[in-house]
Order: sequence, then C-alpha cells, then structure tokens
Amino acid sequence: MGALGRRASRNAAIVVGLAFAVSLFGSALFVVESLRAIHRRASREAPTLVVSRLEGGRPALLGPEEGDAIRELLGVRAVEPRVWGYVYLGALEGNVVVYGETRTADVPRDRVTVGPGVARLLGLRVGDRLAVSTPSHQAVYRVAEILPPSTALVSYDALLVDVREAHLLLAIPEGRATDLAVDVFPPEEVPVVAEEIGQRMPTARVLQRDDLARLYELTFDARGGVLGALLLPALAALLLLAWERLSGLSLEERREIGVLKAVGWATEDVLAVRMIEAGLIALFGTVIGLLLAYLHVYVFEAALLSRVMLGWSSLRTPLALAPATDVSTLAALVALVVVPFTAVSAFPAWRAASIDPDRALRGP
Amino acid sequence: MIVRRIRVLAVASLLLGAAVIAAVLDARTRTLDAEAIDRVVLRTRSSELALSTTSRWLRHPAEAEPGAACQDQPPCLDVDPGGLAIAPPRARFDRSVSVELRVEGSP
Repeated sequence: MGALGRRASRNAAIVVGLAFAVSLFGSALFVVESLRAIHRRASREAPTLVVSRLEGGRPALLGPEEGDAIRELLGVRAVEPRVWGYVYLGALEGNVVVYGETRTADVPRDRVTVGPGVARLLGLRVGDRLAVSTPSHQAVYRVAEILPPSTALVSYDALLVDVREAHLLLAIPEGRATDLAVDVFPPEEVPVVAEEIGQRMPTARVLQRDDLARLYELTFDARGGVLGALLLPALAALLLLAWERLSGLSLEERREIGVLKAVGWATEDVLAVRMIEAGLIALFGTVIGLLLAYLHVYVFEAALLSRVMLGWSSLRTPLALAPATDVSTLAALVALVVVPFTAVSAFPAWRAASIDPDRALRGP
Repeated sequence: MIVRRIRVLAVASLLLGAAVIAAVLDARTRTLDAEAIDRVVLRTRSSELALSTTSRWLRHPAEAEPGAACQDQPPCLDVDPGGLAIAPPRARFDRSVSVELRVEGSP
C-alpha cells in the first residue's frame, strides 16, 4: 500500500486510463445487454408468426381469403389481420407508426392512444385534440390515453387508432390488411405451420417470432461489436501507457527492491508484490470505470453513445434502460480490458523483481 | 508519511465501496416495466423496437420491407444512420412543432 502511495501520480495516471477504457467498453456492453433484455420481453407477447404477401418483391396487402386459408391449418389458434403503416406528421418532420386496434363498440372511433414520444414532442395531454392529415384522409382525434414512458422503446412513435380509422388514414381498403398475426400452439408446430403456409401461399413471406428475435440478437451483437472494435485503439493506447509507466524504474524503486532483496526477499516475493500492486491498480480502475459506465448509460441515458449507435432521428427514443447485465458480461469486460492490462504489467514486474540487489543499492 | 498515504488509500477504497453499493441500490429501482411492455405489444402485435431513424424501412427492420438492410443481411448496419456525423439543427424542429400546435389549437 505504501509503495502504491509513493508512486501516486504514476499509478493515478494508469487508474484514470484504465477507468476510461473500462467505461467505454462497459457503456457499450450495458446498452446492448439492456436493449437485448427489452426485446426479449417484448417478444414474449408477439405473434408466433407474421405472414405478409409479396408482389414483385415488395410487400402487398392481404385479403380475407388468405386469413381464412391459414385458419384451417392444424395448430393455428388465432389469425388476426394487422392494419398498420406510417404517417408523416409535418409537426414532427418525421413518420409515426399508425396501428389499427379492433375495439369494442362502446369506444368511440375518434379516440387515439398516443406513444410517449409523440405526446412529449407535441405537448399532448389526455383530452387534447390531435389533427392527423394524410393524402387519403383527414381527421381530428381526441387523445384518450398516453402510453407510459416506460414503454417508450416499443411505443415511442406510435398512434393507436380504431382499425376503421387506420384503414382510412393508411388508404388500406376495408377487409384488407397489412399482414397477418398468427398464433400457433403448441410451439413445436410453428415450423410445420410456417412451411404449410409457404406451400399454400407461394407469394407469402412467413416470419417466425424466433427468427425476429434472432435478427435482433444479431443486430445488437453487431452494433456492440463494431463499437467495441472502434474502441480497440483506446485500449491499445492504454496498454502502451501502462507498459511505458510500469517498465521505467526510478532510482527510488531500484533502491527499494535492492533493500528488499538484501534483507532476504526472493525474486518471486518481489514479483508477487509487484503483481499485487498491478492488481490493485486494475481493481480501482475497473470499479471506477464500471461506475462511470453505469452513470453514463442508466443515469444520463447513454448520451455519448446513443447517436453513434443509433443515428439521428426527429423521434429519437430516449434510452431509458433498465440494468440487465449479468456476471458473464462483466467477466467478458474484465477479460477484454483487465486481463491484457495485468499481462502487460507482468513483464516489467518480472524485470524489476530480477534486478541484482548489489547493483540496485549502488545505483546506476 | 506512509501512514497518511495508507489513510488516503483507505478513504478512497471506502468511497469507492460506498459508490458501488449506491449503484447496486439504484439498479434495483430501475427495473423493466414488463407488464406495461406486454400490454403495448398485445395491442400493437409488434415487438419491434423504436430505435431506428424515422426512415420508414428502418422502423420495422424485421417486418416492414423485404428489401430493408436487415432483411438481406441480418447483422449489417443501417446504410442510412441519419445525422450520425452532423445532426440537423434541433431548433428548426422545435419551431415547426410550435407553429403546428398553434394552427391546430390544441386546448
């Protein structure tokens, strides 16, 4: 401990560098893990299959006959035509997603449920009127509900209207649908039903829920990986700094090692002490780095990373994330940053430990 | 001198420990609102995350358009990360929002 204190400025520089590197990698890992957790949760209630139709390689509307054909299949529990699409809101200079809901008869069709982003940017409150204008339809809706901010990552840019209104706003003829949400039970039947639909409807595109989940996993991994790769130069710079700082022995350090060896310390003892010093530095740097990453991602909503990871948008969803990091993620971080640092520290430690005590005490 | 340095290190360690405990306690308060998310997904029947730019084909990368980047090559990046390097001036959008609201006369 005393030795650490005697080289306070050198060690502080390494701790700062290490904390910086850990916080950068940690932020990327925290964001990716939290997004992954949200999508996993959202997938639980998603339809087992989504069936759309292609015409000339482009998505086309489906009619009731396609839904009826799918309903006949064994294992299909429900088929729900989805009516959804994009509407450009001039006030936001961006697109919002309009979803059609099949409501009970006692809910007036001029009611709209608004996503938290649309509500925030337009300053909407429950009871306000919202005018929505598309080339096919113009309507004024009464805001019946604003979805909670805790759902922003699935609803930030959403407008939920009565399905009849969705048909009008999106210019989708009555009886037709954007795609079909199909629920299948038991889960083992999903691939069989998907294949059966593909055979019966050659122009159909059948997406399985697991495929969508896998796509998101891959996307998160890719984003996190690219970000990690971009941060590698920072890690390399840190290791170079550590090497440079740890390999230069001051006169005082040489004398210290000389005295220790003169009073009977073996090379292994000195090596062990030097490695413990490096370990303590790594521990301090890692903990500070993880705390900084936590603050950055969960308190400041990943302000520095979100644009790099997600780009710019007029309806950018704030990354109000919940921690979802497990021990294996932290272990990966330690393996990525702390292990190379400790490895870089080993050689200077061995060189210092194997110094000849006579030469060390006499000086250069 | 050495005692003072050890004290400083001990105080720093204690502060760091306290910060770690504070972070762990804070993490317990930040939980996923799973039930609310379930309700929204049941209403929209879509689990796609609102993370894209407002480019339409990026909003539902898995479902919306078969020609979208993530359809052709699942882990590839957005080809259109709008505003990645230079974002448009935010003030312009703020102005347009307020003008629109005045016209619509929201009560």
